[in-house]
Amino acid sequence: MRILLPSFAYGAYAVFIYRISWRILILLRPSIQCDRNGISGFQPTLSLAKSMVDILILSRLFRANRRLWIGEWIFHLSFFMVILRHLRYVLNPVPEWISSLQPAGIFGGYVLPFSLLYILTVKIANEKEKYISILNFFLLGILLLISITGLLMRTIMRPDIVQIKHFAIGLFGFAPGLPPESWLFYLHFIMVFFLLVCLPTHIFAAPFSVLYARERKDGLKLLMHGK
Amino acid sequence: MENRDSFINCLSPQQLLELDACTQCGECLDICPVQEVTGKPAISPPEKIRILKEFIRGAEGLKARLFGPGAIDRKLLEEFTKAVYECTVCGACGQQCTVGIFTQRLWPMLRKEMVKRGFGPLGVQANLPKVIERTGNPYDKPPGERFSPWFPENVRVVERADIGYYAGCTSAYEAQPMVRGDAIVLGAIGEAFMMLPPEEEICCGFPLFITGQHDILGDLIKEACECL
Repeated sequence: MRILLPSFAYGAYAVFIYRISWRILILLRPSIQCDRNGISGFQPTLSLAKSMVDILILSRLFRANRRLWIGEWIFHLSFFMVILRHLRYVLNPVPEWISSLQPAGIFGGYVLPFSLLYILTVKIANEKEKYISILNFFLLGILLLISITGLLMRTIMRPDIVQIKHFAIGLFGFAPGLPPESWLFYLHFIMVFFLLVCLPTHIFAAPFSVLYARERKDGLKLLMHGK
Repeated sequence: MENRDSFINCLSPQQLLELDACTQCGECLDICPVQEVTGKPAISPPEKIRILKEFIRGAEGLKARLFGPGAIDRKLLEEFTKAVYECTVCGACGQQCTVGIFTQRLWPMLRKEMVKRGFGPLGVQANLPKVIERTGNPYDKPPGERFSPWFPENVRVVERADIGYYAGCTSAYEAQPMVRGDAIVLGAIGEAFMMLPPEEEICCGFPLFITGQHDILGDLIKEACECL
């Protein structure tokens, strides 16, 4: 495990970096450029601020499907709190603001699997949903496994977190220490890096798409109504 | 054009980002009018995007870079063409899209790519460029009859005015009560307006744009702008 886990982590990072680099290179290739001439009166800063709100509250999903929206929003928020809480494993010393987020992160960890189950239920129960994305359900399954193993480590089978921190910090410095002897940790760790390998790149592209959509909407309003 | 050539040349960086942004959530299916009638997920927006991304990966991915791009199965391309052309390009999917993909501009670009590869357009759409070049409209109707059947006798068109009225081919040849109403209203409110002569008011090019036949589009638009 001393060699297997770090090797898996480094391999996952390499795949992730390759996937992102490939996408950036593809984006640099096209010779066609969209006409982004400004419309008189268009306020880019205001449009950007509105699109930040669109992204933060998932407003487009709210308009499309409110039942799904509540599950997705809670999932994203709780996942974010859990990620923030995990920063204590890779930062030394741990900043005060991360320490103060611990209760929120713990609460997020309890909420996370239930939000995922809710999302799964809504997607399966939606009779009008004729399109089944295998990838979506696969990702939901991995996230559920990660969140459940994380919750179990928090509640029932607590591994040595000092050893976890030592291992995690060593991983970033390319001098990984001994991982804790906990099959639950091994499973959690492997699933996290497996998620990194399969990470949907729409999480990086979607905010830009939302931004463009907001610019189009604001621009069209100006064009048609002058305000 | 070979079937192994890249698909990214027909798309802008923004559109490529939008392809990546698709979360495959399927919310667009609830609003797609074609889905309502056909019930075929194979021609749904997320499926079209998913297949296109596979085509791109086939020509640009790691395997393609190491061993050269493989040719895409002809049958797959034909099915994809059919899926792209069965769409009405109403844009409802883009309005519903949870990440705001501008599908109404994406689908015509895919049609353009399929035309370049010789898989589109479908059926009589292929006649459009010749018909438009010959008659100035996609309906193959005499240019001289563009206005005369419907223009109200008591409404006057002036040489120069602040308002220019462009009737359009579909309105002038196929939706005449609508344009007749426009002219009557302009005449009734006493607003002076000008129009191009029927031989000079040519197609705006939209039928060519929407069917992916962009070859003569640039020249057509230039000619229309010069007339205006």
